[in-house]
Amino acid sequence: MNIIIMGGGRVGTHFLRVLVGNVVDGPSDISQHNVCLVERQRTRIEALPPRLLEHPAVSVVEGDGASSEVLVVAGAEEADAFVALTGDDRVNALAAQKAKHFFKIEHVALRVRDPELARMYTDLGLAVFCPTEAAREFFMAHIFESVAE
Amino acid sequence: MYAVIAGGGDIGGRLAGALAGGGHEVFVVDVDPVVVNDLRNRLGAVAEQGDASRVAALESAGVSRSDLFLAATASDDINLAACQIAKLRFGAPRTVAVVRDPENAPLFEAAGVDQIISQTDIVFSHLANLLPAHPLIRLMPIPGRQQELVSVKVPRNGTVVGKPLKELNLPYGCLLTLVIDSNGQVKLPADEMIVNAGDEVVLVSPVESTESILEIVTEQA
Repeated sequence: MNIIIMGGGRVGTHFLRVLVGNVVDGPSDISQHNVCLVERQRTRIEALPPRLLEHPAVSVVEGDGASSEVLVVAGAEEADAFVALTGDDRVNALAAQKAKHFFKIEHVALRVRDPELARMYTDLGLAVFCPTEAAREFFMAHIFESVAE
Repeated sequence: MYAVIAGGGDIGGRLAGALAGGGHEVFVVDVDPVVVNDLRNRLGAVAEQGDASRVAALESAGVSRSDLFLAATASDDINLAACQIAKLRFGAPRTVAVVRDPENAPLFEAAGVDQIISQTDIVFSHLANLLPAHPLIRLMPIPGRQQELVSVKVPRNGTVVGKPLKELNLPYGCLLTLVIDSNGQVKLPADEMIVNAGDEVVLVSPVESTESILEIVTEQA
């Protein structure tokens, strides 16, 4: 699969590492996936481990993933999946809608922190992960399970 | 009319002033407390500090009872989110967005925003008006269509001068809507009307035909 990850923060780089990671440490050097990371801040790109940066299945584009021009450079026209993981809900939402509606990327997912926005984008048919909601669910389940015991 | 405006900057702030001055009810949401204070000093209790891309901020601004919602912040991503909240969560009957990057306009259209104002187009149209030598002025894109309203000035020694309008041979899909003569007299076009030097012809044109219209109307002998 050709996958674009937008946002090279903690979640983005972790995801990138896992997608190609097994290969980085293992004997084979061929990943099943080609992954392109789009990140606006150069310092974040420079902070990536060299083994990841030099990996044949990884490419990095410096730029704003909400811009079509940058998305084209990142290979949006041939991408199978697009994951928006910047820290800004609105930027993620704009980029994801662009990826889905204009680049017709089959699998589009995004992170949205604000639970109300998350619900709205889910209702619009986007695959949304809301860390706030997920944390609430986890802790509530944990608390009520403990109480039940 | 009740209008809620996201972003009280150059566009939003001025519009708020104009609407309030015209007797309309208006409310501005802006992240910047300085902007909010300034609006309050000028217009009264019509502004609140808040993030227009949050449901709660738009709820307290009363978007659900608004007649018009305008998103005019400095970022397209915030404007898009704000319009989507206004429409989907609060059923705003009319949403208008100022789009900074023209490439994002189709996205706003797809999201169901009722009217899109491209900031670049605004600047261009003003610039074009400042350059009297330019014979073509793009007045307005037709929202949702690949058409635009343009005005072309007939040059002094143009080959169309002296011909009736029906002989202009305009590209398919063009509609001549108005003729403004050099004295500023506005006329509805008629087949036999004679083209004069200095006439402004106003047309609705498919975007791809605008260049050939310009050539036809401004061809010089």
